[in-house]
Amino acid sequence: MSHLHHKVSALVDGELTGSARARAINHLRGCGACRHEVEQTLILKRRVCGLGAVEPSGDMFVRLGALPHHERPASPRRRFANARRVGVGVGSMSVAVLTLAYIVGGAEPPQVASVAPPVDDFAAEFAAETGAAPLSDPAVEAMNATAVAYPVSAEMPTPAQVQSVVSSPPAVHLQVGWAPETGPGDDRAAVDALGRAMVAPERVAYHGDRVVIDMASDEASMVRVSVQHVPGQGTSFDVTDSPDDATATFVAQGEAASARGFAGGQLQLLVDAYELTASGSTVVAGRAATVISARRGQELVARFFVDNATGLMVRREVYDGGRLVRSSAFESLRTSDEGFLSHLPPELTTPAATAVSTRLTPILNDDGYACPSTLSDTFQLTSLDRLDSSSDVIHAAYSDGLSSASLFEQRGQLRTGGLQGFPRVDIDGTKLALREGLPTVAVWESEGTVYTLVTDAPMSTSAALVAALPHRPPVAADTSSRLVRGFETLGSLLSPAA
Amino acid sequence: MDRPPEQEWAPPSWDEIVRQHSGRVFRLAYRLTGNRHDAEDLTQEVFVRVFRSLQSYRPGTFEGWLHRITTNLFLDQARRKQRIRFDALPDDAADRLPGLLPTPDVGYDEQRFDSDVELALADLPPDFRVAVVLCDIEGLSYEEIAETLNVKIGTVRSRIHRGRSLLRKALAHRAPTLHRQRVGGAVDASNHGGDT
Repeated sequence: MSHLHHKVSALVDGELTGSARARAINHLRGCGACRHEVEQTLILKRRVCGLGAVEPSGDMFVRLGALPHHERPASPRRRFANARRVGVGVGSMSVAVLTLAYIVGGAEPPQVASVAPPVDDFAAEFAAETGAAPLSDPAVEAMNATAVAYPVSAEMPTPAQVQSVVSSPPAVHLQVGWAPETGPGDDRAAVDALGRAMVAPERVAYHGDRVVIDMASDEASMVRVSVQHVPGQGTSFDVTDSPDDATATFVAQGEAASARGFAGGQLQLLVDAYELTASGSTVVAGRAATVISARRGQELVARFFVDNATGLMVRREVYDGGRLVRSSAFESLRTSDEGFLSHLPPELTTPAATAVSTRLTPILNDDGYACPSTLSDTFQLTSLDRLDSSSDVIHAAYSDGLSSASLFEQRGQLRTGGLQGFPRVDIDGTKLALREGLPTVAVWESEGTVYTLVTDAPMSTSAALVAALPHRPPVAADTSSRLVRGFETLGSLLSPAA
Repeated sequence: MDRPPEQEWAPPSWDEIVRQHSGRVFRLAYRLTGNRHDAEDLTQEVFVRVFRSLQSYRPGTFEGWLHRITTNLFLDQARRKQRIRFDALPDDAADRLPGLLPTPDVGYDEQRFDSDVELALADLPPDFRVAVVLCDIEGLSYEEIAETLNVKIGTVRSRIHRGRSLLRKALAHRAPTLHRQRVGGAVDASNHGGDT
């Protein structure tokens, strides 16, 4: 194949799809000149994207506002301000806006929506969320890659699909010298080692093969992922070997995660929820590593293996009931000073969501959305947002530092038609549709709200999370959500791009 | 269950439109024109059009509509200025002065630019500049850009690519000396040759 020429820009912009993209990427592997072109174009694109915003003068507003006095609309019939519409300047979601949404929503005749939760979209959103968590489970990323992925023979994913599985490298805004508070059972050395693991990907470029084994169900499954990471550029994951021969490639980019605002909180959650102790050293992928154990009471829940030389997390094990249920470890690992990510993702955006202040949970609760600040004792509410893809999904993210859980809530009546492959189960009298795996997805309805919980926690923990949420029979006449209606009315005002 | 009939769409108030959209239109106009003065004029022109044809606007595409109006007005103006300049010169002037600037008021605002990228962008031929700005600053897809400009997607691809090549060239030239000699930025002022 000859050089990429004008395809370079299209590739960088995420505008090459299907076989054209595959051919271009293949060409890049062997062509230094085109890689250089791509890098330079990426740098240029970032510079142009990064041009600062310029604000108009106050005069201009005045002039524009006065236009109706000088101009005539094309047609004489024109309606002016609708009294119920409220103008709000640009800005992020605030208490005021939410309250406004609530007020604007008003009381209207009730209606019961029939809801079929888009579980795959939710799983992708969860992957994006956990990708932003510094100590997130690579197993989830890998499994998600195969679950959301496509067989080799099929078309390459569209940018939208790729985007939906785009996760992010650790979004660490760790101040130098930042250290979580240690609890009584914690060992300073253990916490320090995990702190190093959090910041290491910011500094170290590496590539290697990671093997993820999931033994949660009777059938163990294994996925081999080739990982390449370059600080500042992102991480690419190639699933090279998996049970159903699915392969997938996805790329995580730094900028995407920073918006989510994790600031070392995950490690703090881990410290809060578990006792962490350094328990010796061992060798992983031919490298010396420190072992850190996380326990609750006497029970071992996880072990982390941190590379002594670089601080990278080279192995991670999760236990459930004393049994190893998942492990993710580098078979080979090499660090390097430079690198190039051959797989260029569509840049810039993640699935858009509007952050909602966690202080607003009482209003949401009144409206039928349960977002407790703590679930099952150790899981803390880490973020709350409203998905922009649909007008009425509240997304509450929880974590205990070891596992993550995303709770998606939609008002309406559960329509189970879309839940093929979800066995109906009964956990302690609670009926739900449950798909075990990575991640585990549970769907149920309680009092006119449909809950979808997506989590990478081990099964016993997942069950505890489900049990901690409401399970009441549906009410006959739905009290339709005033808040959601308000959101609809406010419409574009809430768009993060505004 | 009786649902209320679909509410008739009522256009938002003028104040609301100005508050919500003028900043965005101005920022786009600023990147297109390259200076504050022209950007405010262009923004005003856009809002006059919006005001006049608000009646025919249908909900759902307000931003796309603003993109179209802004870029089309800008390109019209740029072409008009170009024509005037060429008209004032002998027929073969275009051959002898390939770098005749399509950018209005280049000198006017020069000191205000705070980066080489801005300068280089403002020097691009208008068609290329519009494509790059819509792609990188407004974040539109090639398809959306094609729709906005009413051109084929291949044309968008070619304009973005050529625009970026020119930008890179300009930036490479600028790098060594801060006070470069300005001969006019456009390498291809006619900007018809390369579109596919």
